[in-house]
Amino acid sequence: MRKELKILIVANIALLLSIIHYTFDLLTLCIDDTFKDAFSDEQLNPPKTSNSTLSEDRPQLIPKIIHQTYKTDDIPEQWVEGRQKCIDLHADYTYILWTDEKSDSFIKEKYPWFLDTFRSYEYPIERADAIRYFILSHYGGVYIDLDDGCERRLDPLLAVPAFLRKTSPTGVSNDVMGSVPGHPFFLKVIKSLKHYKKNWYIPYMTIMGSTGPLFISVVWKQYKRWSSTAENGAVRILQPADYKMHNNSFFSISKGSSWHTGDANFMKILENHILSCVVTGFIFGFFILYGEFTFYTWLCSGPFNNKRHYIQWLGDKLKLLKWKIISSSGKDKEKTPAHARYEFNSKSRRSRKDSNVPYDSIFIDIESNHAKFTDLS
Amino acid sequence: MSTTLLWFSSVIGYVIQTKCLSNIQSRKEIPAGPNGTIATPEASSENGNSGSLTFYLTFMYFASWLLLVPVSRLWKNMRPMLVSDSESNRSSPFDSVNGESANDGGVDTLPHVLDEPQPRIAVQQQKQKIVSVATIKYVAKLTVLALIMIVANLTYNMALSLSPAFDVALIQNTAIFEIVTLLYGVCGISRKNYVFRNFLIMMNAVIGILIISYTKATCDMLAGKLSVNPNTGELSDPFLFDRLKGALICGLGALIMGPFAVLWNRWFCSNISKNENSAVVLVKQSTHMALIGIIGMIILLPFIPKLPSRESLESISLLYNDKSFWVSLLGSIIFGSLPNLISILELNRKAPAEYLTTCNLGAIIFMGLAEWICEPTQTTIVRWEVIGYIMLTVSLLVLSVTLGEGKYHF
Repeated sequence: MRKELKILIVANIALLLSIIHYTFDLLTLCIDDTFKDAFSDEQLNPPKTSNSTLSEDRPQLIPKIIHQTYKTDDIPEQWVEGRQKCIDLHADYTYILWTDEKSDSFIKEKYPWFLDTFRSYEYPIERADAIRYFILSHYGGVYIDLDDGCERRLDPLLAVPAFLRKTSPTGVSNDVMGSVPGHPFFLKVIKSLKHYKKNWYIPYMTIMGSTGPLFISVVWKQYKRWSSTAENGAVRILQPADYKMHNNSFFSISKGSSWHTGDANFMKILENHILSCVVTGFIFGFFILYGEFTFYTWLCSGPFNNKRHYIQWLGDKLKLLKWKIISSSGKDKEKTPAHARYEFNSKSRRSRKDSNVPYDSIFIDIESNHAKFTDLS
Repeated sequence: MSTTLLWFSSVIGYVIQTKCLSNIQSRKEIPAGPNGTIATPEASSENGNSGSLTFYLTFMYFASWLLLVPVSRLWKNMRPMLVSDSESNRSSPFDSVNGESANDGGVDTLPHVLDEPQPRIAVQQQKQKIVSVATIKYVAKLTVLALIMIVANLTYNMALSLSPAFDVALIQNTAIFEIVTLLYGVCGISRKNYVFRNFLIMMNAVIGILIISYTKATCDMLAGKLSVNPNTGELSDPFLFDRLKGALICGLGALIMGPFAVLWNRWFCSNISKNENSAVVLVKQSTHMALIGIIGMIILLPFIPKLPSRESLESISLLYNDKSFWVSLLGSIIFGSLPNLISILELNRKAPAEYLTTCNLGAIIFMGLAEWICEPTQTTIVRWEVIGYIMLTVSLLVLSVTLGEGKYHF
């Protein structure tokens, strides 16, 4: 195997390994293991006893606080009803609406090390995403997006140290979350925010990857892999049927995704054909790798392969050009152009490997008394 | 036998094998046992039997490799009847000598006996010293190949339990075609003629595959769209991610067939003399394959259902009592795996190594045809799907001509 080919193979393997290294958490998202951490039906819909339900008897770990975020205090009309339902259903809960101004002062006061990052987010939705992790980590409680209206009391969800909700197609989302103050998962989330603040040039990807659902899904995977998920550190997952549009669901949805732009629609189209993307991936890989091999084969077969030959060929061309210039000036009129081309072309001076070559220059018959050899007989 | 016939035998064998195994994996129920219980793969998953069906089928696949030796011997005996007189006369005088020796003495599995003829004294010395360095090397080679085959087969069977047969055939053959083509080129096994032209044709073929996969109306996997039911907020197709998982597992698992093909050609094909009788070579190679099968079975033994458990015994006996299970399994072995393997071995010797990759493209086309014929309810064909098949077929024909140039006709 040639040295160049070895380098090519090693480079490709290194590239592949680095891609796997950097996308490992994303790849692990392909394996959906949310069912292991799901709330059980008994936890969410406890059987009623004569005086109370079992959930009322169970200790409630998460404080009774509902957090929501918006730019200002003027909530858009389509979300007013859902918000009011949450407040009405949970009269015994503390309700806090985090406006941009309030969020900024909170970060400035409690987490000054994050203030620069917080203010430097390009999109306002990134700030809205980031603040919810900080307030849950600091005060605890339940965070609910404004487009999620409450359908029933959240008490059964408060019996666990932290919870997230499963999203489609894979991973978890950050529109409904709950936690005790200082939960290790949310501490990890706020520590990871700086690291994941990257510009992916596509707004949808930047938001999803830096503070949005993709970010929290990746951190959740890491948390599950490396951290202790014992009883106090566990993060329970609310399944889609418990989230919305079912009899015992906790929430109902009004029109949301206010931050979606044109590129989000493109990403949705890709999602719609998620499976044909597998084949595309294989084909793309083949195109790159076999393309490299084709290029390498071309290089091997081309004139660049033999430097000496290439230099000689270039020298001949230069000599021919020089002769043409001289002949045009009339100094050397004896040589014909064809003769000159023959003289300055190294290929033409090669001896031909055919029958016209004299016999004795190819093979010397040592049995005959040749002049070059001593007769030993 | 002509290479064209071998090609068809290989492709059709693969299609039969895949359809039969898919039929086994997709069965919902196994008939009730004497006590009236119904054991289903899902229901028995608590005992670990659901996953072990995949291991069991892989085990049986390796077991079928043991039949390769008698089948190849039968092939060798029938060969004079199958090949024409002119072809028989073309064989060299060495053929008859080799053929007789193989007939008389049987085939020894030791490589130094198989591949390098040595003086009688040396052979006797080596027989006395069974555990020689050459034997250890030979066993190590077989073990490496067996491990590779286990991974490839397990992922194939696992994918068949998650996805429809066509999806698995499509992704597996695409992956094998790509990796084998690439590695044969890089490792210098294939010829470097018209590399760029072949590259363009191959790209045309894989784009054809992409079009088929995207537009095939009957294909559940690749034309399956991820959409959320607005009424329930859940995925419209609950098995979509299972199929995605199946495609990824199968495609990535099939990539390991590239190293297998390269190592097989390096270790067991490079030292074959052109003068050697083709039937003898087939018997030798079948013996290698059978040994790989035995090693594979030994490695898989710990994963086979735990027999001491009474429940698992009952479940397994129910599985084995089912006639459709055995008919499908035997069908996949007799009409699928064996013709497929024998044809591949023969084709690999008779035609240039890279010619075998065309079988993968052929398998996709024939699998599509089989789906169309066997599934009477799924006969919708869209225009772009036909265009995809045409692109693939044209590329296949051109590649068959260019890659198959210089076929040896024995």
